[in-house]
Amino acid sequence: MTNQEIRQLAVWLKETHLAGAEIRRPGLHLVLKRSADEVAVPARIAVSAAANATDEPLLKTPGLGRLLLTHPEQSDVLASVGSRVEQGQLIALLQVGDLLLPVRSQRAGRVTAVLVPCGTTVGYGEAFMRLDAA
Amino acid sequence: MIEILSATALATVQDFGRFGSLGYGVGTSGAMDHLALALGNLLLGNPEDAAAIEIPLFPFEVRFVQDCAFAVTGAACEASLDGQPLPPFWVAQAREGQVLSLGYPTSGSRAYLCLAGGIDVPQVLGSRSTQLRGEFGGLQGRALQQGDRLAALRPGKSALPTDFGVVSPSQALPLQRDGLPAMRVLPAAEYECFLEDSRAAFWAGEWKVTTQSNRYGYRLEGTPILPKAAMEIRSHGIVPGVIQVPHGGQPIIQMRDAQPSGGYPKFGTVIEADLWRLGQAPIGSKVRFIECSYSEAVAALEDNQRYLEEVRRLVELHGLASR
Amino acid sequence: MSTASVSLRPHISLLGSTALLFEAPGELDLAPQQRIWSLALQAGQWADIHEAVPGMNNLMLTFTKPPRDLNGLCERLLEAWEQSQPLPLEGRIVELPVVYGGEFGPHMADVVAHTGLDIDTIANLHCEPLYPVYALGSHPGYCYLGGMDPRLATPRRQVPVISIAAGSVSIGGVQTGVSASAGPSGWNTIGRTEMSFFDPTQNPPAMLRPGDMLRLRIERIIR
Repeated sequence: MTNQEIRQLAVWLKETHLAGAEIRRPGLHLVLKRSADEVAVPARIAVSAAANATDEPLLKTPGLGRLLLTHPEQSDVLASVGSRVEQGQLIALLQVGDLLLPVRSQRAGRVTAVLVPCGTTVGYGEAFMRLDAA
Repeated sequence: MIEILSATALATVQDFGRFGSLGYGVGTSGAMDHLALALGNLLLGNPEDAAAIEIPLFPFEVRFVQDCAFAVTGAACEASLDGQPLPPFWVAQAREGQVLSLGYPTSGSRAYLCLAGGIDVPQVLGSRSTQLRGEFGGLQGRALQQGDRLAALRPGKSALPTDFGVVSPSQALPLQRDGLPAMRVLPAAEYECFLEDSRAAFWAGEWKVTTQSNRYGYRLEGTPILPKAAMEIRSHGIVPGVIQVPHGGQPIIQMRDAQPSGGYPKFGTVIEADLWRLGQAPIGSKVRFIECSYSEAVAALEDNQRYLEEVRRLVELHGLASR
Repeated sequence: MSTASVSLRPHISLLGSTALLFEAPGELDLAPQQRIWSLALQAGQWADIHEAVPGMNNLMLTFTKPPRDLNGLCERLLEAWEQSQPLPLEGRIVELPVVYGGEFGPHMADVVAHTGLDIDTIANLHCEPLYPVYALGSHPGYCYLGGMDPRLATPRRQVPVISIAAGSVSIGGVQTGVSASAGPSGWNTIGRTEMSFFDPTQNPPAMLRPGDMLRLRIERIIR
């Protein structure tokens, strides 16, 4: 398990407000705990459920990873500048190791700018796309 | 449970294959791209070798008769669920009534539709793979037809995360020569019995996958491979990947539904670790071959294993983090 | 395998990293085949070996996983061959009635033309031997038989037939066999028999085993 993966796990924990997580496997015992005491509330995580204000035009990354604007197996850009996207439409991918996590648009709109080159390693909450009202 | 809507031919139920019955004349069958099959299963939290549908011809359409999580891997084939596009190598949750459509591949040639838990058909001689010649295994020992219904072992709404994907084997384990997909080959018993020029031409040349290529064997077109003298070969057991050279010098690579025994001169064997690359080479495409040693072939298997292990670890982690 | 048809020493080669092929030396014959059966019983038990599959005076060993010490395995195999004794022929004798010629023997005319023998002689020579089952292969339940009369030898066809019926009795080069299910064939079909050679619900699923013997009987000759 790499440090990058541990960071990703920590990010996911933060999203879900869980008090902690423990993973046991042969050769690995990992315990992550929040520093402040919080009531553990099991919640279904949606990685892309970043807390954006609904009228803010900038879309922010939902986690740590490599931001991809095109799927590696396809040639078309997922959401090109000038195109209209629907709510829930796949607009980018976040690569974490060999996994590809979806980045879906929280609302309908028109892509007016792409702020990050395809393949950039991003952190949590970085602005990567501008989506104006359609 | 799913229902096959399209009349497209040649789709079959396959798992990793049927091993241990070669002595009864039963070949292994199994997925032509076992890595794609394994990945679809890992995305669903299935055992790696759970049975799935191998789809070699497109378009292909199924309807979900029940809620069920599924994954489409292998060829990138413009998959869509009720019109909503799905990326390649992706796991999704289907609801009852939804229709999954697969279009013509933009890369690769065989797609795998995996269902949560795996396809529920009986095991015959230890496997759910379809044995076409013997007419057993898979769904009644035959290719799928319009109207067929196949159950999943774990239908319903998945407790595991869906709506994510994995980097494909072509991306994770690239192998090319001069811009063409390449496969490693270990020389076989009669290798030295072929002319030196022919041997050199095999490694240096481009080989076209002709239209007479399917699960039984791939007929290749290229510079004829000629023997030093005519050879009489006694019938012996073979495995998928064996490259036979009949009269005329155009090689035939025995694939997963080939006879389990052969009597033609053997040039070499495409290594087990690279059979998936061949399984994804489309009709009409060209490939190259790279000579390798036994230890390199074993190392290649380990590379594949490491990649699958890595994916399994990350999928499990993603599952843990999502609770 | 050398280009000479007879070799003095066994030959071992690889089929990728998936299997190993052992070829016995000498002329194709029953005694070496009986030693191959014996070798198969032994090697099939070894670590790393998934299945020991006899062929015509040869043996394929498939790996559960590729052995780390390949040289060690080869040495062990050669030694086991040196020590091997022919397994006694204690199989069952199974009798098959065959209808020769007519619609059941579409290539009888080619065998007549190649051998210079008439159809009655061909049928009688073909039924004369007690055929030991050397090995199974080709398709589920198919038996490779030894002991065909060399006078009947007819080369494999230039253009294989897309499908011959189950139970077809055929000649390919110096070998003869009976197909267990419909499928393509490059051999010369001279007759047909009725028998169920394979049932996947049974254990073992194949009706015949290496060491069994087939006695063919003329049911009818269609001239």
